[in-house]
Amino acid sequence: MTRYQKIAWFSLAISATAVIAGSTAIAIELHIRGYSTIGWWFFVVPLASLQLTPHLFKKPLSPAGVATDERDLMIDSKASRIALGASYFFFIAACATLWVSVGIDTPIPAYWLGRIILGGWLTAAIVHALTITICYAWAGKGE
Amino acid sequence: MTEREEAWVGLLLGGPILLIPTVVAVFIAYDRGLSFAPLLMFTATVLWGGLLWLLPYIQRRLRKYKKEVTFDERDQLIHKRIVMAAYVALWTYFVAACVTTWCVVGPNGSISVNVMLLILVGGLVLFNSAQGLAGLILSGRSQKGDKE
Repeated sequence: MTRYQKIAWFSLAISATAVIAGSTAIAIELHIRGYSTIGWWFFVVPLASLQLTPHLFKKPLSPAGVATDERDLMIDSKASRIALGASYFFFIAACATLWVSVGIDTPIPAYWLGRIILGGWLTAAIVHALTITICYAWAGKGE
Repeated sequence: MTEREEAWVGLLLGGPILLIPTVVAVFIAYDRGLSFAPLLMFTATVLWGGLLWLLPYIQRRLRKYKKEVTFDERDQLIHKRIVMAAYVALWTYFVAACVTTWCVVGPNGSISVNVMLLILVGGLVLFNSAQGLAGLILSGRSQKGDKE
């Protein structure tokens, strides 16, 4: 498994943990208090920890080998573009859904803006990791 | 049309071409209430604006039978960088717009839902403008390299 494959699987695991832990915490908080403030941090902290992934898995597979090559960088670049595109479409969907569900000129709480950004961030992280995994799977089939 | 000409067209016309249908859709929604037509118009324009960067790849596939090279590997590389720069600008804008709005009204304040639409339309115009600007800069650099 190449370095970027390991990073992708690690990112998917962290994102899944964020979704499960965050959803559970928010559900429990809503049940107890009727509103949620602490539960959202269960999304933010794991996603923030993903910023450490460039420093992980740096050891080459063999003593004479390299940690990353040009194909890895090309796949990572493609995954980054697709992830940013996916987060853009998430923003469109979130804004359009809000507009339709609450109606025109209706006030919404300002903290929903932060949650939309969080959703875009989570979308980008998951799509980035999934794209890397799929690209390597396709490349492996070709070989 | 050369790369620089395409970049100028994108920079100058990209914003108005996307702004006009979205403003019309919002006007119809205000005048006659929110219905399927303005929502479809708005969503289609925003999606089209976000996917416009795929046009060179589609053109390349359609012109494959003509055996003329209009979009070679260098153009592809420049185009990838342009799209990446535009997406980074878009993300920065979204975060800045949302955080600024949140700071201005306060964490417990409320905003009109129309602010979301304004942020989205602004992001769309910025996305296409950033593509045009990045295209001008990168195609200008590559032409300088050719002359040398």
